[in-house]
Amino acid sequence: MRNLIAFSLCLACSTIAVGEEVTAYTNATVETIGKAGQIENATVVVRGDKIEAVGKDVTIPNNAKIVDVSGHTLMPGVVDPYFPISMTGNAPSAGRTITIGGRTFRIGGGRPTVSTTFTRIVDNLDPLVLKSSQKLQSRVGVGFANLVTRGYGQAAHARITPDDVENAILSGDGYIYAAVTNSTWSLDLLRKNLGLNEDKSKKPTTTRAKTSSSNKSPTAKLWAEVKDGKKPVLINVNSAAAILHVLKALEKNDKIKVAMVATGPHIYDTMDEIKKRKNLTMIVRAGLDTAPRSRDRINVPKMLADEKVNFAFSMSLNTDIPAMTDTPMFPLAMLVKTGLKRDKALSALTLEPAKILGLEKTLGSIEKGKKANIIFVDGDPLDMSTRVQKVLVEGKTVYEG
Amino acid sequence: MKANRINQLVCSFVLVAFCAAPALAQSPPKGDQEKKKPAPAKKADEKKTEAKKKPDAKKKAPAKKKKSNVIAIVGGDVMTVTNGTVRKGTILVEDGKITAVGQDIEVPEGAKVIDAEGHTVTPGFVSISTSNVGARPSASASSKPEDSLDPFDPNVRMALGVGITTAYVSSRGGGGGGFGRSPAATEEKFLGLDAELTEAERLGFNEDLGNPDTAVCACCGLPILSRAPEARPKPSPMSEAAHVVVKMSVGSLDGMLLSKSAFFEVNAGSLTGRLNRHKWRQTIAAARLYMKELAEHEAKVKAGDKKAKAPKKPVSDGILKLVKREVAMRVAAQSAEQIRSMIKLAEELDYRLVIDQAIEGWVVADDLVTAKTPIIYTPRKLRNPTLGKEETTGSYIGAPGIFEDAGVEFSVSPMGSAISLMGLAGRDLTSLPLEAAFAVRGGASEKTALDAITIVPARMMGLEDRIGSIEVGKDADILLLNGNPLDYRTYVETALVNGRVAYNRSKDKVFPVFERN
Repeated sequence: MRNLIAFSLCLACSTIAVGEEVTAYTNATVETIGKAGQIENATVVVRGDKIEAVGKDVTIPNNAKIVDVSGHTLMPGVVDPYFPISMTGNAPSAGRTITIGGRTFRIGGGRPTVSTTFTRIVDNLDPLVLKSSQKLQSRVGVGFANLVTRGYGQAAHARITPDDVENAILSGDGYIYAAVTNSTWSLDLLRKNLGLNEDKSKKPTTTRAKTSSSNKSPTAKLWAEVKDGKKPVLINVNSAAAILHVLKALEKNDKIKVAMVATGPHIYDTMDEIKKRKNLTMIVRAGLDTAPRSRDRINVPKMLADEKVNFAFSMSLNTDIPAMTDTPMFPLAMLVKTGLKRDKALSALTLEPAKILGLEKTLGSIEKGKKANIIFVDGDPLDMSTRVQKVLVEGKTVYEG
Repeated sequence: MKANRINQLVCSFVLVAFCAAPALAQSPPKGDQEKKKPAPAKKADEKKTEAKKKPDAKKKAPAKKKKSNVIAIVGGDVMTVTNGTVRKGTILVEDGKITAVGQDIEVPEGAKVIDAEGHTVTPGFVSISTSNVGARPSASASSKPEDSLDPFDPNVRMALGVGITTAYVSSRGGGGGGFGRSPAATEEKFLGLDAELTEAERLGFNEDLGNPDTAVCACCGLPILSRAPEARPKPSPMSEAAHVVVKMSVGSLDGMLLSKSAFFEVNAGSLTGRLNRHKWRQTIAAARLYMKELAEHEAKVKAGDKKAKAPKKPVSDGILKLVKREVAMRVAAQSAEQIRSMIKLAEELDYRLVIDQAIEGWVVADDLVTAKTPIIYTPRKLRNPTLGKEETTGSYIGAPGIFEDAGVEFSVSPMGSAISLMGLAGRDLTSLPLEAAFAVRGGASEKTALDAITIVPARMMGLEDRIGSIEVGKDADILLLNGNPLDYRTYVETALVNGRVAYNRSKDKVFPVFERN
């Protein structure tokens, strides 16, 4: 233990030598979202891009800049598990339909809503588009985003740092994401790649040959990890029927971890099936919905919590929140007012999405060793009258109100 | 034949204490009343024996599993369709199936009771021509129709709201497959309303006076004979309509798919002309040869010959099923001539046939009976008679009566196969029961009209063991109506699909909710 401390001290010395900035935020109310829960009159020490210490009795390093944030609440930066970006080259193009011998074939062109061609975000990301992308700069409070685009491919991790867009991409090795509808070609994307096909007896030779030859490809490797339950797959469903079809297809293998993006009304319609599925996390919009075929307001996240279904919020699904608003948590407050537990709501915005992405060790809470993604609010973040005052992403101030 | 059926019914259907016998198509309501008297007397004995057997069986069942999900529909007048009407009857439903129908049925403890007092209870209606309800089957070979099932499709709720519990949903959508040069059914035209009408049409000069080749001179009204040379016939590709038979199981995929092969539906164009017919005969011959070879191959394999080569399948599965008589060919034929030619071809090549849109079927009713060919009929569909042959061509309002008298089995499909509440009302899929009522207007009995939207379409698709009537063992697709099923004022109050309440008028609010006086 001592050795370890010595070692870490040594590390600390070396970093100090490089000249990393150390800031201590004192007298804060901290929503850690970790085991410590809410801590009053706490100090948070940020060294470089990491949180060095959190708590009431924290010794502030000598070289630290001390900022008194009394009256403020600190909460972890928002992690967005499903952050769609538009990309050049994946717009649906017109194809041709030809008829040969009474059968129609479609040549070229993309599916209007979903494409089955694999898109690895980092390989297709135009740096210019990235630079001019308003979206990457727009959401106040979002510090980390899992970038996806329409169709199907491999997500990329990005930090939301408007002044440093060139270095926004942290990793290109995100999880597989796929948009799925209730149609054969779309469902087959899941069924074929995850070995969930019903009629195995029909063409055993061809399917075997296919999988063995494609096993070498990186795509097949990714799917194999999903199949074994090592990594989750992000599925965006566009209808309640698609939810049922996807869950039905997945029935064969409950090891597969799924994060499913769906709208509130679609979840409401299919709740009975959703709650049966193991290894499922729903990604939803933070806000009240209207029940299907009625004008009644429903609190879908609360219903998910009541049914003990894991869920996370994706702020980018909240198209109702103005982009640069300093009250991004307002829809969340409505959910809490109408029955969703406060700690559930806050963790669904931070720690839960981090868990989906397998990044709960570095993101999602204000705890020692985690990345310094912190939101400063001048009061309770779920109070109507409070405003976001400051946002830190990896220790750097990216927003000041 | 019908009298026989009634006798059977009286003997076998022991739980029916009172048989209203609407099955007697010819007998008016008075006849029913006469029948009432002897029926209870006969039944009384049977009931006694029944009372000894049945309750025992029923007492055992709940004892085994107390938490059984039995639903009891109690107190309604049950129109079973196949076994007459049971006044103030009880229906028991368990695990999606009907387990008992009759008057003296004990409701097991813990059963969920649906009070049907004052209601008419009928089996769910079957729509034989449907498009875009709950599924969108595609003709593309790579897409499976079952993957397109959508139990949340608003059309599903809408269809269920008018009593449709099962629908044959086809990629062709019930549209007419063209018989090359033959006249299509004429749509009703609304003079003065339709901007697309030509001046000649508006003045009452119809271009299409029965014969499409005959144009009419706008000034003198005389026909102008076509001078265009007749084109050489081209082979039309035979394309099977992709289809799926779905239940209107609102919100649930379980049990939604009923069948994937109910018909071998083709366009008539691919069976007309010498070239097409030659091709079709060859196809059937190839299918038969394949079946023979396959049987030989299987025999060889059984005998232990491992090297036996399996024959290659030359035709589609649909054609094989047709040749095996597992499914019927469904083809549109409107004129008497077309209907006859389709019957002849089917007899020659030995397959079952269902004629769609048989508007002139009344002309060839005897041929249809002899060939045991059922038809799909739309009582309100019009077709102009051929010039000079007004007596034996065109649509006829009395056709349903002729069909019934001759013994032609017909199912009713409405004017439109999709749900569309825009434009002129009363013609889309939601008018199915109303369309059946128009068969009554055309001379058919109410029993026949109800059959035409329940058991007859079920039989056509080979699904009569699952749907089409309220019988023990069948799927519990049951409607609670607030009146006669053929009355335009009648609403579906509650609908069960696969034994589950899938529609409730007051909750679903598809149709207005008010008390009917």
